[in-house]
Amino acid sequence: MSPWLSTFLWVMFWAVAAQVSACAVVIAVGPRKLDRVVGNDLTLVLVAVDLAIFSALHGASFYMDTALLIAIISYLVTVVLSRQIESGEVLR
Amino acid sequence: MIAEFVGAWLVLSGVVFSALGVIGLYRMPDVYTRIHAGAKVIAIGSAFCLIGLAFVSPLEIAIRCVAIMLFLYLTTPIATHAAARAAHRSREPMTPSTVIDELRREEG
Repeated sequence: MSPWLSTFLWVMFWAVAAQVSACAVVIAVGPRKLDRVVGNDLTLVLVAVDLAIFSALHGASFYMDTALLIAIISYLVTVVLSRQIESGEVLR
Repeated sequence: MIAEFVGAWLVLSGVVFSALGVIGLYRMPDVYTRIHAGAKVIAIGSAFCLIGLAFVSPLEIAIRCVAIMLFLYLTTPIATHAAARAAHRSREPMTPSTVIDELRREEG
């Protein structure tokens, strides 16, 4: 990987990390429960993208396995929390 | 060299799109439009990033990038639909600028 691309990907890595922080604020602040669910979904997906960038920077594929696992967890968490909010049983 | 430029351009596009979606998460007026903005981050921002990374990475990482992108494309509609349905059934208020609610009309 050329030096300019490595620098560029590090900048992108920190830009995505800043977006993860912004989504984490949505989880904390809300104001509604479904806002927190959407914020959580975005946070996990952006963490997966950040891990993919990190993996490309280091040339290590095991970070990608973690990213795939996080993407799966993100999907499951969103669906389960939405169903629970819909039924009003757990989070109310 | 060309692959690196294409990959960098795609990653940059994806990150910019993700940033716009995250801003939309703060700026949109109700939960339905915020779900919409969030889905754009995943469907377009993440996909552009992962395709761009596939261009600049070794083969084993590139395959995983494409696999994650395909997985996100399969699961994001289900997740956003579940969230939007939960919002509608729990009577989340819509912004006053919403002029039509076909699902409510169908439910009677």
